[in-house]
Amino acid sequence: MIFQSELDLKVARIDVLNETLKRFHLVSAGGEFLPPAPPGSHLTFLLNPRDGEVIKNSYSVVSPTLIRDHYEIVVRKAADSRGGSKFFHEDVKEGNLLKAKAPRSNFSVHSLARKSILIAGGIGITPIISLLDEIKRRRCKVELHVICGQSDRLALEALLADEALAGPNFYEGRNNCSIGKILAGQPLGTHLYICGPFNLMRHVQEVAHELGYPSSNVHIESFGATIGNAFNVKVEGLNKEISVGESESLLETLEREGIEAPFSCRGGACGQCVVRVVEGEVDHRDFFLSDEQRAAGNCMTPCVSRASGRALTIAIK
Amino acid sequence: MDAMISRPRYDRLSLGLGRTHLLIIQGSELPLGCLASSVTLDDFDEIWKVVSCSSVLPEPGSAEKQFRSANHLTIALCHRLSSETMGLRVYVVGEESFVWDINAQCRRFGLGNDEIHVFAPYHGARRVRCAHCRAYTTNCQNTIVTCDGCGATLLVRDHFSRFWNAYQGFQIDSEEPGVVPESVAFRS
Amino acid sequence: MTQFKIDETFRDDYTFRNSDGAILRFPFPFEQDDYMYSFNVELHRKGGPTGAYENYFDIDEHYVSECRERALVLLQDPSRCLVLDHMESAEWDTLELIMECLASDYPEHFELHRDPDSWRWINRPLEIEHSFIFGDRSTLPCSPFEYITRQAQGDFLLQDHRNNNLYIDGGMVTSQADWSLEFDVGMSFIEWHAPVPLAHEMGVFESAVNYLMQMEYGIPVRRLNWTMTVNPRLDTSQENYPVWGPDRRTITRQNIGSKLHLRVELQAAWRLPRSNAILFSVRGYLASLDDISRVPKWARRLHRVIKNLHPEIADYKGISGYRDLVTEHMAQFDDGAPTSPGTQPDTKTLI
Ligand code: FES
Repeated sequence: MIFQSELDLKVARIDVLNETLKRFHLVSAGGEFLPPAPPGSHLTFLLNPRDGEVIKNSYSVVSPTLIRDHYEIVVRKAADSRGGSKFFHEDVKEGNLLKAKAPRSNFSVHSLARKSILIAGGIGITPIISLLDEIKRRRCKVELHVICGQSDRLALEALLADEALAGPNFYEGRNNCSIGKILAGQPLGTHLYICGPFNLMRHVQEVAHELGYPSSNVHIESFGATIGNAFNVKVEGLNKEISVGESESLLETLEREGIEAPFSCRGGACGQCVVRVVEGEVDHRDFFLSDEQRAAGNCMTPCVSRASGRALTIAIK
Repeated sequence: MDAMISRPRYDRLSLGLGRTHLLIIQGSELPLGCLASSVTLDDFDEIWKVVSCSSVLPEPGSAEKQFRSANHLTIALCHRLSSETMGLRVYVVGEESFVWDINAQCRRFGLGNDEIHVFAPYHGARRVRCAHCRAYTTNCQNTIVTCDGCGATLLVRDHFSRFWNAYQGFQIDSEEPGVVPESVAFRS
Repeated sequence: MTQFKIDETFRDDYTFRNSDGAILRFPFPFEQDDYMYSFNVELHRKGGPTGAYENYFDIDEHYVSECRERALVLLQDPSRCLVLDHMESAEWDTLELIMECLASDYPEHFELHRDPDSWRWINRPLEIEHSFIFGDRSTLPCSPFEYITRQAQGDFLLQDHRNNNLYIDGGMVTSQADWSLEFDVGMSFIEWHAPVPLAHEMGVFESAVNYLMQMEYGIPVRRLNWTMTVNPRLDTSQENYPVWGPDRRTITRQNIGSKLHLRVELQAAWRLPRSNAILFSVRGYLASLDDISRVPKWARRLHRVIKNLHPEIADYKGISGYRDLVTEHMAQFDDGAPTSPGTQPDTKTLI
């Protein structure tokens, strides 16, 4: 169903693409249809590599967006892996069960684009693949440029094999690719989608800006997107200090800790969830509080707002 | 009647970032007060004008081109846009219905919000679309007009559609035939 | 299992009537004894103060008749369904969402079978059975958006999300409260709401756009809106204002109870997955003043709300002409007793 926020997935098949890349086919553990994976989306896994330890890792869904009976993800084994990609490469076996949050995307396809240029750096190709699928469904002109190391080229080419695309352009290494050449002389209504290392994305943005691309035509995906900073919270009257992670809201943390907190919209609009702030600075991200209330600094909406520093003390009515 | 938020407000033109800046003027002179104080005519790479004269020719290659009518200019503009590349900025000065016509053409060729800027220094007369029969009544000077299509007595609302390039009119005496408020001239 | 009333009309002889069950499940809109615009959103989850909230897309006893009325409006004015070309992906998203919800919430009425390359859709109440290829519009008799919204109750709007803004780039609108999709198509969310008084100064729409733009799919939200309508007429469009406008002058002391209707819209907003557009489902409900007065709490409250309503809001909703008559009529049901907070009827039987 479409309305699931947490998924139980079963590993149906694992393909080894090369020494560092593996593709995982995931189906719903209960056999039902999965929520659609939006173009450019990722799954955030809640992994348990060792007892008592939970780590969160996000990987892009590379299967076409119309497919509802399975997801495919590609995981690169990172040299300095803190556990996620190592766990996937060494411990995950066919038939294993994994928990993940429903797929989310930071990319979306611009509906008025007359041409799309996709630029990927290395494994940054992964969110681009489903984006390409959606763009082609819209019958929009498209070019794909992939910059990668020599050792990955074959595997990445294989990943794109299903995409029946006239000539993806491969460049072995950044020095062999002139972004200026790609971007110059493109027709009106061209949109750029970039995913890769920070420096590449920054460079493309700069070149595009110089050539007169409006910023609304340049779309970038920062990998491993988080919601914000991590911080600690004391709840007055409860003898407890809780820590809010980078990818969860304060409201979610309260709920996870079994602390009862009111809410309605969960998006900073209704004000149902407002709590009193006893100590600490708040990074207000809601649409509800007035400027005066923000300035006074004694309340916040835990569904979206965070600490601007490392710690907060709050009181729940 | 308070101004509605959908009614366009125009900011004096200032130059954004871009490769080529094309200024389009309905008329042979730029009216005073169209440009922001930091901008002069020299800042534009090209200026196209509608001069309302049957014998002018747009000179190829020259930075300033003259056109006989709005349609004459629009035909040339569409031709140009079909082969243009990213980095073009278009600026339009003229009557309200002219600037939104040019705006619509540019959007057809992929220009977005940041790539086209319009300024209508005088927008007293309105083009009105009847909510009921969908006919246009042009050059409306007052809040109450008779629809060119169905003959209804329309109240012209301040509600403007960029898509239709028109204000909305609806039959004001639908509930009580003949009961019509006083007609007021639009301020420009 | 819902028993459908298959031959109700919403024009001419107006045979529409609510059964007792339909009155009790009406989404009465007033939380308190007074009313002002607010950004009253909550998550659209199954369940709420009345039966109208039980499912994602509510199907009730008027389903068959409302679909017939929609088809009639479209015959007279095809532009009531209008979707700009760049919204095709959102059209398929809408079809998938509505079919999936209806089939799982009302298996006795709807079925959806998905084979890898062909879908089969069965709609028993409307006697439709059709196989098609998802994503291929040539396999449907009309556009995917029109196809599915002809088979659902309420109006539907598509908002494109681009350039950090929302644009109303499509819709199926045959039962609206005095506005025109055709005129407003392509407008930004703020331009579209320009004619609404007071709320702009309150910043309601800026907040709404910002809130909607951060919505995630799979987590729909809802709010209620209301107005009043003379006769149980669904098509109170701006296009046809000259047709129904004169009805507003027909309210008398004698006929007000059966002729005047409280009209409530249960508006839900859904992020769509592939297009990233936002779908609004605007599910309308009608209840006559006679219907309302059979629930004592609602009758008391309606009297108080209308009596104290801000005049500009009354004007905008088009009820100024008969407002005093409503207050006078409803006064007989208001003994001054306090009302409980919330919109639930507080009764299982009607008086
Ligand atoms: S739950 Fe609505 S503002 Fe937090």
